[in-house]
Amino acid sequence: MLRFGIAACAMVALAFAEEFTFTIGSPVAAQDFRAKVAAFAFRTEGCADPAKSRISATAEGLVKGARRSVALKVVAMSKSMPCTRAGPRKVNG
Amino acid sequence: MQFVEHLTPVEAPDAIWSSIEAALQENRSSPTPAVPRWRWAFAVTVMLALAGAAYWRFAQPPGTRWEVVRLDGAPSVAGKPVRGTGRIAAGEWIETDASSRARVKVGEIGSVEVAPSTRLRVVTARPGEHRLALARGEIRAEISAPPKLFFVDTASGTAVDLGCEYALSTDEEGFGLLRVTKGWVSFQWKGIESLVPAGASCRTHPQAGPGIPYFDDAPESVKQALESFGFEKTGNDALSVILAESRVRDTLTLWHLLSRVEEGDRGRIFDRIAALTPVPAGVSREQALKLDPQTLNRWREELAWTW
Repeated sequence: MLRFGIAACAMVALAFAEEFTFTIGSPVAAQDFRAKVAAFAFRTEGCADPAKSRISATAEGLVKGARRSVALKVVAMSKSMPCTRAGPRKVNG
Repeated sequence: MQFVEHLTPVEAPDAIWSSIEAALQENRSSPTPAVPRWRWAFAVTVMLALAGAAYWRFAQPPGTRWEVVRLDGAPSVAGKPVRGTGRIAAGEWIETDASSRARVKVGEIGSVEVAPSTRLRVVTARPGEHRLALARGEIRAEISAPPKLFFVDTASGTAVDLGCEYALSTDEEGFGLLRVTKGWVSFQWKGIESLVPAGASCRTHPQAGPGIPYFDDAPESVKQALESFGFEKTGNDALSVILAESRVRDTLTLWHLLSRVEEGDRGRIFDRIAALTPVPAGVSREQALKLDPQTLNRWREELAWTW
């Protein structure tokens, strides 16, 4: 079992407003008990229409020298529009 | 009938009246037959017993006796050794010696591992409240449930689960340590609250409750200053070290300090946090120094993105 060096990439397809920000933090930032099992939390601010935003995330890393990509499950939390991914903290190698 | 009408009435002898009166008197004074009264008493007793059993059954919903699994050595529940698996009910103690460990299944919401040399009691075992009392030793809790369903009382306060995994140790006086590995734990004592997120710890102290939380990777100088600041009230020297050495992430510590220091020191802490990370909209210096709860909560939620 090798720790998957996460280099997360999130793609946001939405109508950007001028002050759009994207913040990644610890799962505790989500202020939601369901985020306990998440690897990180992130939020978007300044979206013209957050309800229409589409967000995907992928973890990229090396497992035994081979590059691997793992699609992350993004789960909306209860606070504002932070979206928290709940997925494997480690990946079998 | 006609024959009867032709009979001549004859006065009954006096003796017969006295015997009849004696018989009537006997009937009046004789007690109720023993068998019917006994049957009534038996029926009432049975009904009371059934009612009591029904009350007990419905007042103690399923799951109030939590499963206990022996992990090592010879843990005991209510003084009886646990071999393999056992059960523990509200009011009962589980104890481990120096070479014993056990795991207690906490209803349907998680489990608690009981470390060696620990004495732990189940206080409440209801779906709406799962409460333990840790007299001494250490437990490791893994809870998957909405906040405020799982509590652990100690001599120096109560750990309130906010959806988390953590280790909590204490001695019988209340000197202890809370270390959170996932989620949040609120440690409360007489109106004092420390909010401890994953990766952080908090010491507890008798007659002082929870100390100031700090991240486990905080600079040693900050941790040492907190040791003296939290309980010995050494004042400005310790505070100066904490302010000078804090990193962005240590705003966890600074945010808690804001409401624990003397009023005159609050401005220094506010300014240090503001220097480390931008003050968000909705948080004013004036309101923060007044310890306005809404302002402090708003600030904490924003600071948590750096924790």
